[in-house]
This record gives sequence, structure tokens and C-alpha cells, in this order.
Amino acid sequence: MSALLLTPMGFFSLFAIFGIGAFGALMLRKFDTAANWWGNIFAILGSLLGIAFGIAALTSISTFSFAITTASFPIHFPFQILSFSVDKLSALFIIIISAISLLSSIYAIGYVKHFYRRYNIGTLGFFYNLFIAGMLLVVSSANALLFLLAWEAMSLTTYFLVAYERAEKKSVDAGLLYFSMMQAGTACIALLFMVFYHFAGSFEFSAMQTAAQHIPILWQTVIFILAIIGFGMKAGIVPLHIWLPAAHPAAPSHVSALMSGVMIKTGIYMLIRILIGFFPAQPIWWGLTITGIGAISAVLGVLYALTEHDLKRLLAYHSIENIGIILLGLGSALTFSALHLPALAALALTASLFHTINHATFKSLLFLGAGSVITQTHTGNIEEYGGLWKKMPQTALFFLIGSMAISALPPFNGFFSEWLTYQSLFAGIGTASFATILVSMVSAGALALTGGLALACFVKAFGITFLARPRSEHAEHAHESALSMRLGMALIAGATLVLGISSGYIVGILQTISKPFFAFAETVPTTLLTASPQTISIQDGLSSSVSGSTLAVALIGMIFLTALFTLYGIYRKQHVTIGRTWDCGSTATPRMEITATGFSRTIVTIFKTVLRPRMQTSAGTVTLSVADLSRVYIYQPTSSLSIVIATQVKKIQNGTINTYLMYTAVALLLGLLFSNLL
Amino acid sequence: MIPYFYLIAQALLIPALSPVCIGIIRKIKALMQNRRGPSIFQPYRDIYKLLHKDEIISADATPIFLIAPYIVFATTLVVAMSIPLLGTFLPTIGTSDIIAVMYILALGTFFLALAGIDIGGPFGGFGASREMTISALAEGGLLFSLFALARMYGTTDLLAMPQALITMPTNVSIMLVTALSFFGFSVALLAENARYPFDNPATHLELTMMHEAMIIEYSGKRLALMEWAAANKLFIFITLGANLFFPWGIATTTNILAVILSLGIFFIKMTGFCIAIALIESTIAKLRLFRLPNLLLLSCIASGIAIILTTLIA
Amino acid sequence: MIKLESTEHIVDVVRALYADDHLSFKTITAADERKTSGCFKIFYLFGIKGTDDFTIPYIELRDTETFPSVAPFIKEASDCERKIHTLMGLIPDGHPDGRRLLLHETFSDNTYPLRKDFTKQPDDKRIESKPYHFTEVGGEGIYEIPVGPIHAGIIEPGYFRISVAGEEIVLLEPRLGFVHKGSEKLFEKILLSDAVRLSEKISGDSSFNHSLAFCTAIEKLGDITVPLRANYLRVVFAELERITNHLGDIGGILLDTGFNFGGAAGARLRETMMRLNEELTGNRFLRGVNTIGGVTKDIGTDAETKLVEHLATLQKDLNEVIAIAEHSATVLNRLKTTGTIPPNAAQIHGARGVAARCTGIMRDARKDHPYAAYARLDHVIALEQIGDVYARFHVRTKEIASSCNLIRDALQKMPGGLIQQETTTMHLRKNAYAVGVSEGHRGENMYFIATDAEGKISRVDITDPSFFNWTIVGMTAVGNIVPDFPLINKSFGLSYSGYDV
Repeated sequence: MSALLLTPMGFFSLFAIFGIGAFGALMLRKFDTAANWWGNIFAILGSLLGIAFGIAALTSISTFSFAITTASFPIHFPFQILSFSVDKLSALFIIIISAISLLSSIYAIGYVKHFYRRYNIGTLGFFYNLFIAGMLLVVSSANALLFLLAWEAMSLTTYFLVAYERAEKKSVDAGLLYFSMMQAGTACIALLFMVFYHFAGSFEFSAMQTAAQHIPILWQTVIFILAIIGFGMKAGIVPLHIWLPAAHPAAPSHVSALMSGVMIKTGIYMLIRILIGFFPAQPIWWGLTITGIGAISAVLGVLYALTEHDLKRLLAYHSIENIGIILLGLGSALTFSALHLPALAALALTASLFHTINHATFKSLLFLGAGSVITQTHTGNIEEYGGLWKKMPQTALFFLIGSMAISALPPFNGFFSEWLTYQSLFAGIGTASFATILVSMVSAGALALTGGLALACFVKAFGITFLARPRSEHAEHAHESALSMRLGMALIAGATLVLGISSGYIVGILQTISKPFFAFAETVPTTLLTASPQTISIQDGLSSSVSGSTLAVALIGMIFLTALFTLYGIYRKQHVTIGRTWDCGSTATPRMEITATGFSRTIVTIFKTVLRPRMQTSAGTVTLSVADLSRVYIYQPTSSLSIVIATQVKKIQNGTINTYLMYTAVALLLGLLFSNLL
Repeated sequence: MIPYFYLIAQALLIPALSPVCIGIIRKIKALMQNRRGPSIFQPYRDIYKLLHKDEIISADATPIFLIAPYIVFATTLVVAMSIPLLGTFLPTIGTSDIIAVMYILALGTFFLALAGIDIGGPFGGFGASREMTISALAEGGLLFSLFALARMYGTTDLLAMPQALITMPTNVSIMLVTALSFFGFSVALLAENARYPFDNPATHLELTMMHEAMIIEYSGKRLALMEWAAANKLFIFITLGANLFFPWGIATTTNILAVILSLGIFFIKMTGFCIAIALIESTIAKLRLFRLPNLLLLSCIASGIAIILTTLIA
Repeated sequence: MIKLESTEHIVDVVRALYADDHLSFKTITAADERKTSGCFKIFYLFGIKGTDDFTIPYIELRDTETFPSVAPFIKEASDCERKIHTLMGLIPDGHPDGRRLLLHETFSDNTYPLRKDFTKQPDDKRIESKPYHFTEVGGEGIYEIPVGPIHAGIIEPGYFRISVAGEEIVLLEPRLGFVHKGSEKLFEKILLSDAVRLSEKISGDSSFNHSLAFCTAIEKLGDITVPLRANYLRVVFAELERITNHLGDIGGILLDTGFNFGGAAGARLRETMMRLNEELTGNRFLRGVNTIGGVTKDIGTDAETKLVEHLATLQKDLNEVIAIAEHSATVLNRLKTTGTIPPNAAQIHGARGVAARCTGIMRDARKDHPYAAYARLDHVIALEQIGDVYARFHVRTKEIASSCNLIRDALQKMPGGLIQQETTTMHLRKNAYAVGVSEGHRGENMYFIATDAEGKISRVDITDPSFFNWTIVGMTAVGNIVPDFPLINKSFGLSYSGYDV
């Protein structure tokens, strides 16, 4: 089976399926239902193939790679660009992309129905399939030019998806912001590859890898900075995150799930590929910087999430937070690699990869849940929800599971990846480098704070949305969503639990992916991390272990026993009556339920140096708001500056033909001069 | 085999003993106010009474409200199996890592807060808001203090720590680390268990409540479980405080007499903690809500210094 | 002495009087004199500071039920006019708030209890009149916390609707009236001998000072001279009541900060005072002591010594407790800067008693309108400037000290003689008016009594200081956080029953 898959034919058929799905949907664009089913069925088929392909590649001994040389082309092409490589890391990402696309597409069958007759379903299917294909190409290309093409394809298709609801000004603006920032990021990436090309002489990743160790330190620093900016912008690190909270809410929910769960991880993928994969020896400050960025993104992401009462914006900020957590692991891996501690580096990278997988699952679950809620209530504002558990119990349950997973509560998967991240940070405190100790300690504190704040944020998001009484008309008339939507969510929810219980097993697999990246010394390295199907345990000066299966069994078992004993073991003659909530003798109105803004106001006030909350009172109305610091200190000055510069540059175009003719003449002259000189 | 038996016994013993802890604290507080106070076994009678009372459930409640008490209580039971109370011989089953224990307790807090919001009244709402704020900020201090110990003992497994401390030499730096991290741990203990200066467990003023506000709507059996779970949580924290920072007297063999003796010594340590808590609750006022983060930050910093000290010792 | 004057241009007159610094605005009240004079009368009471005299312009409403409102420029008159509107049915023209004051939705519209022709029969069906609209604060994220009328502790019923932004209070609206007993009307029906007992129940913990104000007014109407010894005794008992209540309030404030020791100490000391009261008079709340023409209980020499001893121990004990509280940083942190009365709010809204004195306003009925034997005794008015909870706490501790001094002073200066004017029959002047004032522990109590053509009481208007202070509580709470509200409420220590009357 894997022999069949791991061929160029198998590889291209993957893209072919998505291609058929895309173009077929476009051709069927006059027929909403047909386009919807066509697009999503092919996406499902493509994803299933992708999962199979990924598993095959993961379990195979050698890396699957091939290139189509231009010699076999009828037309002469100066650059060779068609080379592909799927090593274990790419295989993992292919599995992640395909799995989430699969479940997202199942969900989409029911979800897209809400767009019938309002927008063009055919174009949605078109861009959706191309988007997934683009992502798959990004993680499997072995050539910088091909990569850039795929990257741009990914950005373009998502631009159209973000601005899909073009009747909403919000969506269009979000699309524009997203597009401009992606271009800026891509420019940095292009520059990055230019630098590599200069030293490697080729756009092939393999060539870059061999050349990397000879690149002088200054240029390595340049590469590092360009990588952070370019890929970090895609991943959504602070302060380059501004597009995330605008774009993710604007796109249709199943697309948001993909964008937030998978697309931003491609940035992480490339960071791993370039910073860890290409460079055998990194300076220590690379790792420390990334860890620092991770800590800042994590804390700021969750703080801003707390101030949000738009459900999808809240989830978008949580993506920023989780990218921060992933970067904590990544940064630690780089640091350990620089400190010549390969076993610890593998541990940290494993933590990072595990969190990538987990975040992909629970974030998409949450976005899909949000999509269900929004389509029923016609608003994204949490303040208008309430009591939705009674109207949509299954969606509520899945959202609850997603909330528990993202808050790292056992026995779900989020807990285990955070546990591993903590262990890598703890190991950092155990090293000899004082800088590492300090950064790791502060990051561990930041992680603890983030965990607690994320828990608070999801108590708010889940509690105010689904519990208590409805706060608006819309919420009162909501009802459960379609079967396919619930099926998609149910499968992901189940996956979070399964990933948690089998965390030992998963970690074992991830170790096989991480270890090859680090140069282990000649002597047999001590395997620090032992993962049995039940337990993950670490032995490194500090011994720690945790068991996914035991936690699940213990928790679920104890809950069951407690319930059983209380209901049937003690005093059975109790009467239970249904009454009113305690309202001190007055009548309760919907205004007396806690609001989302009110819930998080205390935390916002505590962190007021960062969040700058404001309360304006005027004529009996109180407006509460927070300021986004990066917007105030970075984006607004930058955009004002660009406008100023642009206004100045505009003067070149004064409108008279004569000036333009002069420009042409001067340019010609200069060009002739330079070519003579060279 | 026998160590596993002790593990299960511990899971049953902790709920059985935790009400006494609450009773002792109340008694001492009463004595400090020149009152006689209720008997130290009164909490048992209270739980018994509540278990036999009828229940009224709000029409607005969802299944979360109904299930939350079971979850909150169950998490305390799971943690009860993961802490070193009876001896150093307790086997690790994979739930006793520092972070695992912290997040299992966080699971309980999560559902407690959701139950507070579920009833749709303002009291539960702001109770949940305050609890989550304090809990989020206390995590750092708690984690750091336990981690400082972990670095000293070379393991993050709670069940394995007392053994390590007993076999360690005592010198000034170790005592300093223990003292600093103990301070951080104590603040976290008070914060997580809703005691002074964070919350007044005996107040009647709904507007000032934190923990009580979240369970304000519970009655009958479910209220009994919630109150009992709170007592369990306090007992668990005291166990950690007593047996991780001052593990002398803990049983090292599975001999039943040794275990009973160690339990007795633990009771003395526990009473010490109870006296300390009662003293704090009788002599200071509750801190204003927005000054609490400063206290929690202080605990975090103290424990952070302890961690840095451990790196210098090693 | 009272100067009554009927006027046409009441608004201008009242304006001028309000601006006069020698006068202090007391209240506005109405009387139904349609049977006797064919009109409603609305009285505007102003007291002349430093004397026992009052100037009361009034207007007559013959064919109309509307009168010009002075609320737009005298803020403290706002609730007075609402009360007249609700209970008497006279409409203040130009008043910004048209909601009923004390009567709730189960009282039908267009029923005015204080009118002479009011006959209320029990209803068979449930009445629901116009709903009461609370001010709603707009803005997303603002939610409301309803507290009361049933509270978790054993306190009087009152409803507060608190609009909050997270933890910060943006608006506090109290609504009382849950213990409205119709006392003012009851006074018109009962025997004079029972009326004193009724005045003691207006605000249960202020029994003595309330009945003192009532008796003073009646004594003026009956031209009864109270024996000097009785006046001194009245001072002693009044100050005992003040001490008892201030101890309870101090304990309550400390308890609400969570300082259990202080709370328990305050409760204990109050209990010792109540036992002392019982020893001296047979009643813990000093009920049954005031009577028209003097007091019913005397203090013998033994009792005197015991009293002086007790006060000495009390002061020592209290000073110890206060010292401990003052040394506790956590307590001070809770008390200071919490619940600061907004600048000028106390002045504009007519704060009485502790609420006024904590912001530096020198308002004390014992000096402003001396009654009983206060003219012969001297004391320093306890003042604080900042107006926060700490200031109110301090005003009370100072007043306890000055009350102890007053008691010792009074016991010393007290002559022998009768404690009660012997009157066989009581005749009140016909068609007369009188004002009785006393400084209770909360502030100034005032009774405005009118008699009819047969010398019977035809109208009693009762003003407890809480009537004015409740508005200030609402204003003070804004900007504070929710957990501090019980503390702020306790620091004012107002009476729900006194407001509702």
C-alpha cells in the first residue's frame, strides 16, 4: 500500500483530487447544492488520501523525495523548481492538514448551506480546495521557488476566502489587511531565500542545507530575522499578529478552522525546517529570542482574548496564545541545540510538535462550534448569547470538550503537550547557562499565567454562551445544527480525548521525527524521554512522568463512582424540585446575568499597564474599551509614515508627458552605463 | 500489592478526615474571639444534614450544574491518590506529577466556575470571575514553589519527594530554599482555598463572596459534595505543605504501625497549619480585591528566587 | 418658637431662605387641612441655627393639587416632594422624578394614604400598579446586581440595584419602602399616651432620641416645662444610646472588612452597654423612659457610680481595640479612601449626622437647636474632613469619647428635683404647630406636629436622618468596587425603618 502511495503518481493524484474538486465546484457554481457537495466530497476524498499518504511517509524508512527536472520538459526553463520532499516532519504536517481538512469538510457540508443564495458556493469550493492543495504543497516542496509559489497560492486563496462575505465591510477590510500583511511577510521570505541563494547557488532546499553551515554569522543573523518576521507574521506572533483577529472571524467558520488550526502552523513548519533543519549549530540567542517571543505572544494573546466579546475574535487571539506556547518549545529546542544537549532539544521539539497537533484539533473544534452558534444566532457577539445548551446540547458538549482541551485540562490532549512544554522549560532551568535559566524561568511563569488566564477566558466563553438564560431574541430561537456539522465536531472531540489517552504512543512517534534533527554525539545518547503507550516519562536530573491512560481512567472512573454513590448510595428519599434562581426576593431580568465584558473586567484592570482599559461615561451610557498597544505604537505610526512617504513619492508622477519621457531617457542612460561598467 | 492498597485507602481517608480540619480551624477562630465555638466534629454533622435534605434546582440550570459537584469532588479524590500522606512507599500511577495535580485541581475549578455562571444570577457570575482571576494569578506561585522543591529533590513526582528530602543533608541554603518556597506555597494555599486574605469563608455578605458565591444556588446532596470537596482541597494542600516541606515523621515502610504513627504525626502538623490559618483569619482584615495580585506576585517572586537558589546550589 | 407665613411666591422665598447661611433647610411636608381650612398646606421648614426657633413659610393649595417644585435647585428637597406626591397626592410641578417613593406596586395608583379621606379596604385581587423604572445604564458589558430586599444576614430589607462594569460600580440605586408602616397616619389615630411608645418604634435602635424629639414637640404644644433634672437625665440617656449604637457600628465596620477580632470586640462592648441600659432603666433599648413632661426612670447615687465606672472601663477597653485596629495595615487599607463622599454631595444633598460631619460640615442638632440640657453643657463636634469610611469610623470613636464626657458632666451638674412634670391632664394648643429636634446617633431627628381645632394631633411629620442620607449612599458607592459596598453601607449605618416610617 505505502509503496503505491509513495510514488510521484500517488503524490500528484493527491493534488489532482483537490484540483478536480476546485474546478468542478467552479463549473457547478450556478448550482449551489451541487457545488457544495462536489467541493466538499472531493476535499474529503483528497484528505483521506492525504492521511494515508502521510502515514505511509511517516512509517517508511527513507524520505520520499523526487524532482522533476526541466530536462524532461519540452520548453526550456531556466530554473528548476519542481522538486518535492516529504520527510517525517512534512509527513506529520501532511497528516495534520489532511485530518483537519477532512473533518472540516464534513462539517462544511451542512455549514455551507447557510450561504446558499447569498454568495457563490462554487467559488467557495474552488478556493477551499485550492487552499488545502496549497498548504499540502507548502509542506512538501523542496525548492524555494516552488515553495514561494505555493505560499502565495495559500495566501491568495485565503484572501478570497476571508473576503468571501463581500457584503460585509468588515470582511473586505479584513481581507485587505490580511493581504497586505501577507505580502509584507512574503517579501521577507523572498529576501530570505535570496540570501540563501547567494550562498548556496541554488534554490533547492538540500543545497541550502549544505551551504548553511558556511554562511557567515552576520548573514545568519539576517536570515534569522527575516525568518522570524516572514514566518512569524504567518504564524501570528506578537507584534505581527494584527491580521489574525480580523481575518479569522471574517472567513467562513470551516475556513477559519483551517486557517487557525493549520495554516498558521505552516509558519512553524518553515521555522523548524530552516532554523533547525538547515543550521546544525545555532547561536544560543536564537533560541532565547524565540522563547521570549513565545512567552510574550502567549501572555498577550490570552490577555487580548480576555478583552474580546466577539466569539471568533476571542478564538483568534487564543491561536496567537497557542502559537506562543508552540514557540516556547521551539525556542527551547534551539537553545538546547546550541548548548549541545541534543536529547533535551529533541524533547523540546517533540513538545512543540505535539502542541501543534493538539492545537490544530481543539482550535478547529472550537471554530466549528463557533460557526454553529453564529449561524443559529446570527451574531458573533457573546453578550447576546446565553442558555444555548438547552437549544443545541450536542454542539455545547463538543464546545465544552474543545474548551477543556485548550485550557490544558486532563485527560484531554492539550494537557499533555503543555506538560511536555513545561518539562522542556524545566530542563532549561537545569542547564548551566544563566541566560537560559532566566528565560526558561520567566517563560515557565508566563506559561502558568497563560494557562490560568486561558482557563478563565474559556469559562467566560463557554459559560456565557451556553449556560444560564438567553440574553437576546436570537439566542432564544436557536436550535441544533445540521447532522454533518455535528458529525464533524464529534469526530474532532473524540480525537482530542483519544490523543490525550494515547499521548504516550503519540509522543513516541514524535520522538522519531524530532531526533533526526539534532546532531547526537558519537557516544550513544541517553534517551531522556521514554514514551510507552501508557506513560510519558523523562529522566534528566529531574525525573517526571505522567500517564494519559491512567489520568483518563482515574478521572472518569472517580466521577462515575461519585455520581453513582451520591445518587444511589446515600439516602434515596430526597425530593428534587425545580424552582427559581435566588434573586433575593426581587425579579431577575436578563440584565442581571453576568456579561462577558464584566467577567473579564477584573483581570483587564489588573493588567491595565498592558491593556490600557478605558471607561467613558456620557449621558447614561458607559463605554468600556481597551487599547491594542501594538496598534498604537507600531501599526499606526507605520501606516502614517507610509502614507507620508507615499505622498512624497507621488510627486514623481506629475502628469506631464515630457517628464515621463525624461525619466525613460535617464533610466536608459543609466542602464547602459551600468551594463558597461559591469 | 500492599502499596496500592494504601493508595486506595488514602483516597478514602482524605475525604473522611477533611471535615475535621475545617472543624479545628473554626474552633480556634472561635476561641480567639472569646467564644466557645462549635465542636470540631460539627462539619460532619453539617454534611450529614445536607445529604439528607431536599434539593431545589433552578429552572435555568443545565446539566453542567447537575454534574459539576461530582466532577469537583472526583478531582479531589484523584488528587488524594497522588499526594504523599501515608508514606513514601506509595506507588506512582502517573497522576502524581506536580503539573498533573495542579491541572486536575484546575479541572475542578473550571466546573465550579461554570456552575456559578450556570444559574444565571449575578452572584455566581462575579464569584466565578473573581475565582478565575485569583486562580490564574496563583498558578505561577504554586508552580514555582513546588518546582523549587522538585529541583531540590530531583523529581517532579509528588509521591517521590518526601523520600528525597529525608535523605538530604540539611544546610543553610536548603533551609533557605525551603523557607522561600514555603512562603510562596502558603500564599497559594490561601488563594486556592478561598481563605483570608483572599476570601472570608464565614461571611454573610454576598457581594464580597468568592467561593461561596459560586455555590450559592446549591442545596441538599450537591451542596454537601461541594462543601466536602472544598474541605478535601484544603486538606490536600495542607498535606502537601506538611509532608513536602516538613516530611519528618512520614512512614517509610508499609508496616501498619508505622503508617498509623505517621498519620498521628501528620495530625500534629495539620493542627499547626490549622492554628496558623485561624490566626491569620482572626487578626487581619480581608485585603481589597485589587491588592491581591500584588500578594500573589510576591509569592511568585519568592518562589522564583528559591528556584534560582537551587541552580546555584546544585 | 415657630414663625409661619403663608406666601404666594414660594419658590423665590425658599430660594432666598436656602441661600441664607443662618438658616438650615430641614424638610418639606404637607398636611391635609381641607376640613379645617379648606386647603392642603405645604410647609417648608427652616431652622435658625443656634436657636430653638424655626421659620416655616407655607403655601395653601385650594383648588389645585399642583405646587411648584423647588427640587431643581434644592437637591435635598427632591425626596421630600416625592413623598408628598406619593402619600398626599399633590403633584410637584417641574420635579425631575415622577416615580412613587415608598409605596410599591401592590399599592394601587391614585390612593393617597395621608389624606384625611383615605379609606383602605383589603383588596380581593392582586393589584399591580405602574412598574417602577430603575435607571438603566447603557453600554455593552454593563450588568446589574440586584441585592435585597432579602439579605443573607439579619438586616432590614432594602433593595439595591447596582449597575457594574466588572467590579466597578457605575450606578447604585436604592429602593426602600419595604417596612413602610404608615406610622405618620397612625399618630393621628392613637391616644397621646400611646404616641410616645409609637415614636420609639420608628427606628428601633434610636428609640430614646426619637421619642425625645417627639416629646419635646408635644411639650411645646402643651406649654409644659420639663424639670431641669429631667432634662439632664434626658441628656444622659440620649448619650448612652449614642454610645451603644456607635459601638455596634464600629464593630460592624470592622467585621465587614473581615477583621473578626474587631467585629467581635465591638459586638461585645455593645452588649455590655445594653446590659447597663437594662440595669439603669429596665429596658435594653431605653424604651419606656421618655414621657411627655420628663422621664420615668431616675438614676440614683449607686447607679451613678456604677455608670461612671462602667464608662471608664468601656473607654479603656475601646481604646485598646481601636489601637489594635489602627495598627493593622490591612484594616487601614480597607477603610481609607473607600467610599469617599463626592465633593459637595454632602452639602448639596443635605447630609445629616455622621455623614455630614465626616466631610467637615458642622451639623449637630445639639448645638444647632439646643434641646434638653444641652445648652448648659459643652461638647466639641466631632469632625473629619475626607469623607471616606475611615472618616466615618473616626467620627464615631470621637463621639463616643465626647458622649462619655457629656454624661459625666451632666451627672455632675444634675440638680435634684422632679424627673417628670406632674400634669393631671394634657391640653395641647389648638390649631398650633411645633417642631421637636434631637440628635440621634445617625443624625438629626425632627418631628413636626400640628394640632387641630380640638387640640388633638392632626399631623405628625417624622424626619429620620436616614431619609436624606440614603441618597448620598447611592452617590458614594459610584466608583468603588462591589466587595466594598457592604462596608460603605455599614459605615453610613442608616436606618431602613426610619426612612420608610
